[in-house]
Amino acid sequence: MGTIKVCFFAHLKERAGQQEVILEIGGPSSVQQMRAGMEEAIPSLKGMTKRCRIAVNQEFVGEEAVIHAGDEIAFLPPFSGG
Amino acid sequence: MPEMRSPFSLPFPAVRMKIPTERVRIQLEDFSVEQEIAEIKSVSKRIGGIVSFLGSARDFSKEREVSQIEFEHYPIMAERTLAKIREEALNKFKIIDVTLIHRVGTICIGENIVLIIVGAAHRQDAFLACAWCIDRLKETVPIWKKETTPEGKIWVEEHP
Repeated sequence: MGTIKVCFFAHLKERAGQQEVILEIGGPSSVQQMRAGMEEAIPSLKGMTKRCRIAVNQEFVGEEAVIHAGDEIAFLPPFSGG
Repeated sequence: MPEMRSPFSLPFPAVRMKIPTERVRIQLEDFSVEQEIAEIKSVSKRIGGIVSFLGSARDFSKEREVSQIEFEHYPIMAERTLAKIREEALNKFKIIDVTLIHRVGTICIGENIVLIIVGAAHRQDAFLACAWCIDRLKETVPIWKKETTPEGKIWVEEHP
């Protein structure tokens, strides 16, 4: 057992009403499991993260990534810098 | 008549002497294009061509008036991604150095947003690297823009 931190930005942060959430994690988890856990904790984000890229510990990862306790996850909406 | 100056105010040149040392920065405050070019020039006397891209805040976007822009970033990852772009550019092109700066926070119309400066021996490589850097920045650096429009504040999702 452990926890992960999930971070939100831009419109997701506003919709969630918070910048981050700490979630409990039973063991190594898939992105899909993590997303389901996040949507359960913050129902207002249900279905909102489809267009997001995901970062684990500040590195881009694919949907096949494995998430471990202690990781920092970020849902990154399409970027608009520059 | 001698100039009257408060003994408590900082002399102007002292403020201007603040020389930035980091080639890659995300910052709230404005930057000086002139100073950043001087920084790049000071790297090597082999530099013969400098190309810069300066992005500034415009007052019109997607058929809407824009009165102000706010930028938010993912700290650490944004800086790290900028640093990666710099490293890749140095490997990919025949250039000598490159500076990448992006501002965050509230930016008024006309103000500077982003600056890329490439120093190379010759112009061709500098032009190519500069264009590549700004494209990569828009695609890969976690920064988001919120525009203030007559319809309210709107998060912008694409990067034209």
